[in-house]
Amino acid sequence: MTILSNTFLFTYGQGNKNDDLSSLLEGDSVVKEYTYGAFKTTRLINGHSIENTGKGILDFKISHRFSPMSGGVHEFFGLDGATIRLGLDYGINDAITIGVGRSSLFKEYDAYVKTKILRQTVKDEIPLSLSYVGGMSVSSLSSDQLLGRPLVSPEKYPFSNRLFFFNQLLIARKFSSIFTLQLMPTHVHYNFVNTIAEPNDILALGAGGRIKLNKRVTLNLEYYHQFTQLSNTTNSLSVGFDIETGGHVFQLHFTNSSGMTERTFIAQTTDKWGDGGFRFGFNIARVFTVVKPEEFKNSKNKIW
Amino acid sequence: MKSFGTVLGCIIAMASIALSAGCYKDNKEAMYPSVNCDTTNVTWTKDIKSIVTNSCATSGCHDAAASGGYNLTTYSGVKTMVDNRRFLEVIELGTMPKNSSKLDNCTINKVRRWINNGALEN
Repeated sequence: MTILSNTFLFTYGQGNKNDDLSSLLEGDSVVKEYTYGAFKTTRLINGHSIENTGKGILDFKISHRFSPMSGGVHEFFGLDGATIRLGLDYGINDAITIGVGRSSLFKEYDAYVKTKILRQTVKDEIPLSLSYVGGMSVSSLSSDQLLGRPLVSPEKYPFSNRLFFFNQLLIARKFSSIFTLQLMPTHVHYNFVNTIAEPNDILALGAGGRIKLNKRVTLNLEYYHQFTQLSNTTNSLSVGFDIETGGHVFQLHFTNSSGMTERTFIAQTTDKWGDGGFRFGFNIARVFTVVKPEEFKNSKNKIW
Repeated sequence: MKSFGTVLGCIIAMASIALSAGCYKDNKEAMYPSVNCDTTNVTWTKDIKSIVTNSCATSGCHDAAASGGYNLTTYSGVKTMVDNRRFLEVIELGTMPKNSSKLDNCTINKVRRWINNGALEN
């Protein structure tokens, strides 16, 4: 009898505790549960995804875009030629990522800041995630190459002519574990363009998303529509796969853009898919933990 | 707070580069008018070689490694393309230089005159 009553009391007590916990969970004071893993990595294909690099993490990115497939067997379907970008991304905290890079195309150096403004929650109190990315790049080609002819005295080629800027909003919603959609309104500024008729400010709207095919593989799509554009350029369209292999994400894709900085792929894509102007490309990343996370501060484990 | 300081530092650094160099709305046509568009005496050494070097034979394009399929660092490489009747065509259409705007009219006229004169190595 004593045992029975004890069991009853114990169960009753547990029940009460559970009730208290559920009431706590339903209360206003509960911390919002954010969605995570909208994309596998910080890049959709060429451009940024809503994801940030984790706090204290340094992400070394190696990206290649080969020559167009239209080169055929003679060019080994474009693999004979490549443009390369080497980049370092660093997560200052969970909301702010900064990054630098260097591209072989136009011998360009770039830097950006990406910051989270809104984060989508599981229960849809906030229905979408919003981030801002702003950056600039500098072309280090010789002035003769940038101008297309040697300077004639007393002409000068000011440093400002080499600068490019971009501002971008990333608006993303993870509809389910399978499907994420992202919109990217973008402004690209050229300090220096070729003709009077060409705009210095290029406005574009990007749209992209991912469909999860299985635990390790997603299908990604990215398209940028330009509302104002430079002469002889076309819109950038890319399709690719993210393949996760235990800590690494390999991004393999086909795109008609050869550049990997915002101004080159959004505003200076010249090849057209219809003419066989698409090429193979990849992004691979190696992640280094620079700052030990708080919970491992006192850990003697050598991996930290 | 330390990380906030770092962020602020980075943003200030980027902003100061941007501000010191400034944000402009310039263009080549207005800033560098074709001062010497003289197509009467166009030669390979005086005119065409520098056009090809600066606009075609750049790194990763038509360089010595022929990354772009053709090596245009030499006269013979250019002459082969001229003989194939492809050289002027892609420049006139603006297909080349890739990832860049069409060459200005003065430059195209010089190339056209040089080819019409026999595309000599003079």
